[in-house]
Amino acid sequence: MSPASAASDPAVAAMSDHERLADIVHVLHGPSGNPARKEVAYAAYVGFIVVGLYGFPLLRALVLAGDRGGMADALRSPWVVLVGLVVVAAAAALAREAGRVRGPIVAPVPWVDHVVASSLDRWAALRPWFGYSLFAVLAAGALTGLLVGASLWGARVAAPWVVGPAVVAGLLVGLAVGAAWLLGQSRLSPPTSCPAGTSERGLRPEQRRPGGARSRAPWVGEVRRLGIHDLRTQSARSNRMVGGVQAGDLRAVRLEAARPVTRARTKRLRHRGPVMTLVARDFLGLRRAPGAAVVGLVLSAAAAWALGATLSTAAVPPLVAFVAALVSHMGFSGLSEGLRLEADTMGTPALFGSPPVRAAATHLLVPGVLHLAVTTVIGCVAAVVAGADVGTALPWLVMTTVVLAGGNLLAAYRGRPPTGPFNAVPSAQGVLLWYAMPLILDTLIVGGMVWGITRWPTSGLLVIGSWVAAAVMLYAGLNRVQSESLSHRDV
Amino acid sequence: MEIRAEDVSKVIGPAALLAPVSVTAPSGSCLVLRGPNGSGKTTLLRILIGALPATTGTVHVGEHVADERDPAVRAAVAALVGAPATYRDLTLRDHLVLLDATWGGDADTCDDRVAAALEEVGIGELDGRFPHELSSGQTQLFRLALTLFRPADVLVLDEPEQRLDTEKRALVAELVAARRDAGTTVVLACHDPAITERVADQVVDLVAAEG
Repeated sequence: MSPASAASDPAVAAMSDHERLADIVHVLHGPSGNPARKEVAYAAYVGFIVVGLYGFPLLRALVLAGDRGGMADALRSPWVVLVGLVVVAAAAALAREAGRVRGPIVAPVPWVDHVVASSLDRWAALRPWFGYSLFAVLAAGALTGLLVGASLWGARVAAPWVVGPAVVAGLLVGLAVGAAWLLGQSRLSPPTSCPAGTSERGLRPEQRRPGGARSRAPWVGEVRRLGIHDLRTQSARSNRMVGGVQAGDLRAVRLEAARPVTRARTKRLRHRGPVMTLVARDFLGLRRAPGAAVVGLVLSAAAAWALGATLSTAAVPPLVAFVAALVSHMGFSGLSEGLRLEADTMGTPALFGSPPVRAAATHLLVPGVLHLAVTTVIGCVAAVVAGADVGTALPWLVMTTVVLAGGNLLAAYRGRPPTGPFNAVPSAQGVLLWYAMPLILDTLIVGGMVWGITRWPTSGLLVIGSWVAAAVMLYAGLNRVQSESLSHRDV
Repeated sequence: MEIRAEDVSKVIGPAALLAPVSVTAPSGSCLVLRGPNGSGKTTLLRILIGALPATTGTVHVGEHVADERDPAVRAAVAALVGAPATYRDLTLRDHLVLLDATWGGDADTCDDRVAAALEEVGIGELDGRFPHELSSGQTQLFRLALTLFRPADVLVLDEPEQRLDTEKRALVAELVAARRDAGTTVVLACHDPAITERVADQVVDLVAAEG
């Protein structure tokens, strides 16, 4: 039967959308139905286990290491509500932005092409993916609330009854973030000319299918608004991102996730010689992507303040230095897009003339100088505010930038994830560890360095060891560039 | 600079990607590779530029064994084989300026040469666009501009006519012929009879490997 005759067939027209979808699911997945629901439930189960095993002890330890009295007072302050609202607003804004790249309604491409594109009601065709995402945001919110509430209770900062409201608050935040996520996706498409709740506009009453949706719920309208082009684009993009993550092709993931650059088009790159042109390139890149520059500088500054305070006063627990090191690595990374783009050229026919190691070292100049300036200035101010002198903190802050430069080189030139001797496909745990290794190294070295100096402030061995560790990290990064440039040939 | 391959083949597992073949492109000449899909044209080009080690045989670029890890080979060979990595935050003009700077070009004449290079391939008016703002044909012209702009003794192109209209194909043929006449050794895989007719000093027809 041709599609045209199928559309006019009274038997087909008499079927409700629900019946037609049930038939399609049966054809695709057999009597057992779509396994996606079980997979989502399993993911939530794994999330619960991970939060229980790792999240709760870690957060509880952080709370215990902090100023518990101050934290308990802060929880009773009205300011906590304001801070909470700001955090929720920021999370919603981020979710809305994420929805533009990969929203909550991402069905497989064949489903979009053959089912969503048919005359079926769009809400009915996409309802399962709406349900999965709704469950995911609610589960994530509830788990976060449970984690925070239980950790505060476990550290004796709050009473046990706080766990219940924390879970409810988590659910509400999850709902708000989910709504923003959906809006980010649905607003990519223009408003539909079809009024809310009428997927059968223009049909005579006898032509309308029984059971056709009439819902006027706002989320139903938002899902019906989704255009086939945007649905397909996001679905294909999602596939490429997942494939990129699994294959360790981070360039593909970045290019899919990044918003296209269009700013400062009239600013021109000028020829300033082989080295300074690369430096100018990186400055120009930051001007054209100011969001990354601002995030990088803010994270670096926040981490520098925490490092300076930790180095200067015993009131700040040394554990804070590890968190600050992690944040500082992310700040350095935000300033290092030029370095990553240079690393992306590995494996392609030589286009640019700079030798790989010299090019990589040159691309460290802009993020390195910016990070060093922010870290030393902010860190020293924090030290002075805490009552110490600049000399107490300055050498360690300088060392932080050197370590992070090495770590970011290792991150940019990761290459491909390692494979086992019996399996050419790397395991998920292996990819995760391989991906996180530079971050872990930076966190442990910088955090350990600061922790050590607060414990043994007069140890010359620690000073020498720290400088050696920083130099080794930088050398390891440059060595990785060299090895990547020599080993990337296909076989 | 001569490029010479002797009895090169490529086998990966059970799949033979390239049957043994010998080709030589003398200095300042143009060698065109033809053949049906799957005959190994791109594989041979990747072996010639040293990006892919051959299973059997040897390849020399001038006096050097073809291995792109050798800086001398990288300096000699400009290749458009697959998509080059471009910078998403640089305009077309900026790309060529950066390229010129890294190869030690003259800073005083850089802007003029960049404008001329983009004009030459017919995308001069697009110089302020970012790579993601180009159509597929314009992207191919931009990639050609990048490859032709960097200094090289050997030029290797994989189907440069891809996604180009008839007028632009003729333009590419003239550009390749001009490079060959200027003394550059050119090797290209090509399905376009008009381009082949215009630029080829030598044509090699590859046959698909068995297995």
